[in-house]
Amino acid sequence: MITRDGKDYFIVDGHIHIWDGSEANCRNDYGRGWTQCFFDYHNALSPEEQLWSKERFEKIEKDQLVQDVLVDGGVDVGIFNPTVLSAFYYTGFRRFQEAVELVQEHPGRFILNGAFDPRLGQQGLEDFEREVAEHNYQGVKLYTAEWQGDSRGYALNDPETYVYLEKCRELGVKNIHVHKGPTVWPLNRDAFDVHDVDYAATDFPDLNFIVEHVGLPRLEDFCWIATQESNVYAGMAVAMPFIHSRPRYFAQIIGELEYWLGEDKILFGSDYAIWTPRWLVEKFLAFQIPEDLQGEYGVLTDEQKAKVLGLNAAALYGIKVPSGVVGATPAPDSVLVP
Amino acid sequence: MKPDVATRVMEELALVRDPEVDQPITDMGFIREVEVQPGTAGPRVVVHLQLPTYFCAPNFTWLMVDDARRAAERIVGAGRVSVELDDHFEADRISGSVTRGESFGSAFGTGTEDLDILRDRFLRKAFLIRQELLCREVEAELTEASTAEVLTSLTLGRVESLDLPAFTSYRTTREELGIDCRHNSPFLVAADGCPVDPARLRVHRRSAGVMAISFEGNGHLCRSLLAERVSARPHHRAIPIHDTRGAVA
Repeated sequence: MITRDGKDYFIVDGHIHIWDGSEANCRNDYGRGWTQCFFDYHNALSPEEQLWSKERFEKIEKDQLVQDVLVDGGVDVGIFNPTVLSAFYYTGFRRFQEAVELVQEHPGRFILNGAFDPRLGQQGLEDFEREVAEHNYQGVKLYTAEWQGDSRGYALNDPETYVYLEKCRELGVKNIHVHKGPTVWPLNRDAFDVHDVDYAATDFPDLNFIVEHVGLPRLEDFCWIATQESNVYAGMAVAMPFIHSRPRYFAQIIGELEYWLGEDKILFGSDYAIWTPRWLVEKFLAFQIPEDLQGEYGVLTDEQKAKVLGLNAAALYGIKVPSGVVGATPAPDSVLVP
Repeated sequence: MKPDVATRVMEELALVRDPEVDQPITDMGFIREVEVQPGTAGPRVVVHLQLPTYFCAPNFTWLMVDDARRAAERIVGAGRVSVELDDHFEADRISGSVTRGESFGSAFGTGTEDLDILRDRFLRKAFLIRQELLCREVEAELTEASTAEVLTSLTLGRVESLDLPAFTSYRTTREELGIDCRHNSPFLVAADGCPVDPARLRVHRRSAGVMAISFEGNGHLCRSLLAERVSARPHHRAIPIHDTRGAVA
């Protein structure tokens, strides 16, 4: 919970990680390149006082995460969206066991999403089903540029992916988080093409597709698709920190998202540990669309901010929102006192 | 006095654009160094290129590396240029294949695939952004232009006669795409060159607007990330980044 101007806001961080990108875990230069790339994002878009050392950044420990996200962060519920990358790191980039432990040690405070790779075929499907049963996944995070064998990426509308999405539907795994990285294949297409989300969202209307990083660097394609499909959502991870480094650009992003998708489809995410949630939430609560852009975008209300910061994700994940916070539905027995 | 080879190569490189942000690769700071090696048959040139991330998409990377090679060859001749891509996961393959003049398809084993579709797609995006920029200038110039009917009935010749700053680069792209550039052709066209229906103008312009925001934002991000990479290598000779952002959105 974060309080501002006497009002309480319920916070769901829709995109957090616990990772090991340390040298010891790097299988190759690709792993080193990945960790460095994340660290460059951290350095490029963080306020000065939020900068970490490489040592602190490259491997995240459980107690550090709890401190940064729950204690200092004021986050009510954090959602782990794992990035596997087993071709780059010996034990994968995500620290799976540690995430599982955090979910157990802090009941109700963390949600663990799974991951699948459609190129792993029948065996992968069976493993996925077993994992879902064990961890009660409500969602998965897919990174379409992930390497697997000779493959350098896949699309959501590949027939092999549909087999897995059918399985998600069957098992009630309803939130599909999609991270569009630069797929290397097919090479003659836009590497960040988001059009496969359009097909999948049409064919699986009962699943929710949360496009992480609001489709960046293809905001325009993403907005267009999200307008056509009622089950496509915007994950704000990576877009959030522009609120500090490029506030005007941030205003345009959030303004366009409000215009194309509407206030119920936008989900806050810090992308911890690239950034920590507290300063992002604080800046967002203090944020307003610049006056000269208000003609185009209007203003952001407290209720809209509350939806982005927690209520929208709570609806997707069935998280109970306490009464009394901004935007919460009043309890049925509450009485308005004149 | 004739400018030296490195300067002339840089001038040519300034014509190469990053297709994802529609800005010259020289302004983006991607050219780390232009190395000129004297030789009896004339100079050879090595262009050092560094992109914002280790994982920048290979297809866009290829376009810029290959365009940089062609640009430098206009000064020193075919076969006398190599482009070294610094610190990129496909650096060896891309630098080697481009320097040897191989096709993209053979370098990546994708057969006959080439990148024309990709290049065309992004040039059309850039075109729509430039058109939107020009359209805003037209609106500011002509007070009667505020309605969709008036804007969609403007001809290219009428817009040219207004002598607006954004016109020249707009027309260049329009011509490059093979879209009708005659005086009486309609000014506002969609990505396929067809006139825009007044009823669709609002959504058309809104789309172009978000495209402009997207390109501009990507430009910010690329510059910020590249600055981190360069600052981590203080001994590397750096050509300064010129910030030319912010014209459109």
